[in-house]
Amino acid sequence: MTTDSLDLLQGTLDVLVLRALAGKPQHGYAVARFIRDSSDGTFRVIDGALYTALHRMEERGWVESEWGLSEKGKRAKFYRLTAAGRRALRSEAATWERYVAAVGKVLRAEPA
Amino acid sequence: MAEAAWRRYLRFWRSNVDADVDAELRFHLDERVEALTAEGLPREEARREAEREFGDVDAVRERLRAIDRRVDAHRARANRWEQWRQDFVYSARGLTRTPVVALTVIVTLALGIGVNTTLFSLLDRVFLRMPEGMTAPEELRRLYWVGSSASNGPVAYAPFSIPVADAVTHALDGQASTALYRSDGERFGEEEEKTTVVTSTGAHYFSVLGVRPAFGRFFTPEEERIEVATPVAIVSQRFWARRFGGSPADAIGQQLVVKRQRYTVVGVVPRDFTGVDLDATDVWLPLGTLNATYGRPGKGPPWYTSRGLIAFQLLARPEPGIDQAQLEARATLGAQRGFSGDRWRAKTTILSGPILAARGPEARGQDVAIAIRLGGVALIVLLIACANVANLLLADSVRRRREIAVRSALGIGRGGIMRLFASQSLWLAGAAGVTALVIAAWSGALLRALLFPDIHWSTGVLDWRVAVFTLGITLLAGAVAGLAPALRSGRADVSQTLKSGGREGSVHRSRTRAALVVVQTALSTVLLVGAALFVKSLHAIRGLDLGFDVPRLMFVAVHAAHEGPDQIATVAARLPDLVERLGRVPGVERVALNNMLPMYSFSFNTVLYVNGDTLPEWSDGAPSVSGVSPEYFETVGLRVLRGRGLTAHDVQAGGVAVVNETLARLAWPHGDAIGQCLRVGAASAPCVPIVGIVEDARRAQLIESPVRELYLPLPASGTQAWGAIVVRVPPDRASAVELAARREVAALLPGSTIQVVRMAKMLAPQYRPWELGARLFTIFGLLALVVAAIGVFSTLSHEVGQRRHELGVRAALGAGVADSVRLVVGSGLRLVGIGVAVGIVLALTGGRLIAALLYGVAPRDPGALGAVAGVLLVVAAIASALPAWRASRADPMEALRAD
Repeated sequence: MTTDSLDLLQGTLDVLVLRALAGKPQHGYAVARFIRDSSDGTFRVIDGALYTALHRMEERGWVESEWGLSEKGKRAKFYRLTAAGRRALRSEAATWERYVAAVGKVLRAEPA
Repeated sequence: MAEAAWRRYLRFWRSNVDADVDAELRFHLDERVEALTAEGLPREEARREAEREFGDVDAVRERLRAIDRRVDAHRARANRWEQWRQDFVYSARGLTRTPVVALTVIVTLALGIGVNTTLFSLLDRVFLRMPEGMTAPEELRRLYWVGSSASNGPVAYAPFSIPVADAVTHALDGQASTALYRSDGERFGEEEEKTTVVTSTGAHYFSVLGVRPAFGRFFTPEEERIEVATPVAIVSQRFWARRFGGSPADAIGQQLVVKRQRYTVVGVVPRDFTGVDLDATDVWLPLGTLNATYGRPGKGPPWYTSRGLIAFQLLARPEPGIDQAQLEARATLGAQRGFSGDRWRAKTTILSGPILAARGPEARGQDVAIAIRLGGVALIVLLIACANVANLLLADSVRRRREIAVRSALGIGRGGIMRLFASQSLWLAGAAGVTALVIAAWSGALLRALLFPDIHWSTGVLDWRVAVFTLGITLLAGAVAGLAPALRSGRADVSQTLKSGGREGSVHRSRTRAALVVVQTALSTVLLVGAALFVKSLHAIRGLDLGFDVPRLMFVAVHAAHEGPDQIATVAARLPDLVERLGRVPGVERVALNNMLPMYSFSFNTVLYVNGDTLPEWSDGAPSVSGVSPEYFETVGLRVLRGRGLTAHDVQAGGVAVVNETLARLAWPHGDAIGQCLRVGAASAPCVPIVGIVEDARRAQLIESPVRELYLPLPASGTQAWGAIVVRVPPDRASAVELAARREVAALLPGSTIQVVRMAKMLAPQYRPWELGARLFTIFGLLALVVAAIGVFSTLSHEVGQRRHELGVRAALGAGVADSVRLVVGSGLRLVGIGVAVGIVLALTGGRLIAALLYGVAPRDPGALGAVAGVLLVVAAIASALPAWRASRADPMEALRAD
């Protein structure tokens, strides 16, 4: 795995996690479930990487964590986007959309 | 809120981070297993699948823990800052609730810090900071030659004569380059001259210092030749702006009048260069221009060949690789060659010191010596201020102990409470530091003007060095003053304080406060003893008999408009007339002539021969010789002890001399001087018979070893450049006589200039250090006394407040008013008594530090010690009076009901 693809993966995961937290606070398992479900299983995220991303984002100040109770009344760690996290989500999402649009354009173009 | 605090508390534990990560991962895996089981997988398989999806669980766990620890540490740091911030805001609010305490603390600390800032600003300039604007000033060495005096042993002198300086320069050739200069502090000049500091520079002065012209040029080798007096000048930018305004670049080619001579400005130095010495130079001239001052046209050898004109500072910049010992050894060879033939000085050695004159081996001026001691005094004042502030804060913390106890009960740890006190101290110290800078800006200028009134300072009192020093000492003072209350509060016993209603548990604090009062009193005693010694010393100096009737003497000097031989002759010819006219001015008691101003820092010395032999070797220089008119002794108030004074006949006939007591005793230890004869200047000179002996008078300084003096009759027209008409006049008539003298001179010698100076005024600078020592030490002593008195008062007041209960019980049991008063005043006197005893021991030990600055009083003077002890005890009694009165009014009922 080259450094480039690692960065890409990392960045991709970040934006997905941020998106997952855009609504109400979620625990890590819910985030994993959200990504798995909303991509119809397209993304096969390694859960360990997802947790690493969450903790890194907490270090970066994008998310805050707090212990709370899950839907089933179990003790779980909930993550919430901070203002910085929302800004990051906006800019990362925009970058992604530009990237996707660019790739799409290239794919649609006819080779000369 | 409580939840959050609880968690924050737990977060400080690393195991909590680990457990959190474990719990989070366990929750995830459990959920996933459950979900997969629900999809139909067997439990075992579901667990394997969940772990497979997760990746390397152990590796992830470690990674997460590492991240969380970092997050945790970061959060803890942020937390600490946040707590500091909160404490800061909280303590600021607390301070505004007790403005009197806060203000007292700030003012006290500001005084203590301000005094130190002031002294640092001065001492830094005198001792530490290298002069600006030159290249590598720390490499430059100032040279000193060592002479010996009969009374003091070897003494280092900074000024050289030009022949000796030349010999040293020659010897150092190839090892060091030298710069010769003289900064002129002409104080017997006219107003304009007093404000212009002139440095006369020898060859290579600027290149040795490493200064380049900002505009124009420096002196050419031709202009630097000492034999010629080229009228060219280099000016400082500040001088140019002050005197003429406008851009310094425009100075080039302009004309400038200094000391009645006209000069053309050829160069301007860079802005930051103000010369080598403290006294900022305004104008630089070539050394040769001193011919106007020292040269005597048409008479004898040129001035710059005189070994007696010792007035020039010598700096050396050693070549790389030449160390101090080599430099001094080489220079010594040169100096000995330069002094060859001089039996007293040919064995001289050369020493070198830093370019800062105050750090050299030369004896320090009394002004500098006083400044150093004042630095010590400033530290003592700061200690007293800190003790006082600690005392106030302790009292305040006693008042606040309920609040603190409540906070402790709420789980705020010792660290938190200490932090609260520390932030309060920081507030107070910070405010005090800022106030101190304001004080120092003012008092620093004042101290400069008091101690060094003649110096033109090149920089202001405040700069970044002073600011950094103030910041440091402010933090230190804040820490010292805040430490005691913080430590005390940290130790407060919660339940005890809350239970007892805050009455008990104060014994320790009282003891600390008592110790602080003792410290204050002891230090105040030291300062007051110092003050008493300086005052006594000043009295002794004022009581000195200088030989002259100082208050009644006035000197009148007349200078021709241009110092040519003809004009000087004209002035001389009119002198008898002038003397006669002055004698007729109402109020004038007597008029006399002297060819050398009494106690002016200059004298003619010569060698005397007795019966063909030179007088016994006197290593501290030759006897001085002055010519005086017959009226002189009576005019200045010198008594003729034996024989007779000089007469008008002596003036005509010449050939007789009067000697002073010391010369008579040293030259003829076993016989009568009268009737003996002396040869003046050379063994072949005619032998002059001695007709009288007069009492000793000072030659130059208030304190000097007895000087040998010879008086020769002076013709009425014979006064010379350094001489003056001496007028004896009652002090209350002096102003009128001065006006009359100016009128007479204007009428008789139009175009000439006249200088009139009263001897008392001329000597004032010599008394000034003594007066200053007395005044400054007294100010600091009284300041310390007031602070100590406040300390005693507040401690006792507080104690009375604390013991109201006990006093009430006592009163209820029948104790009288006298008992209560005795109790309080007694404890006040006890504290101060201990402090005074400690202080006197300190003063006795430290006395030798100021012994050198005292005259006519020993540092262990029992009178001074006794007086100070008495004053302090009286002040202690007064400071105890109000608390005692309050104690005597203690109402048993109220006191007992107070709980």
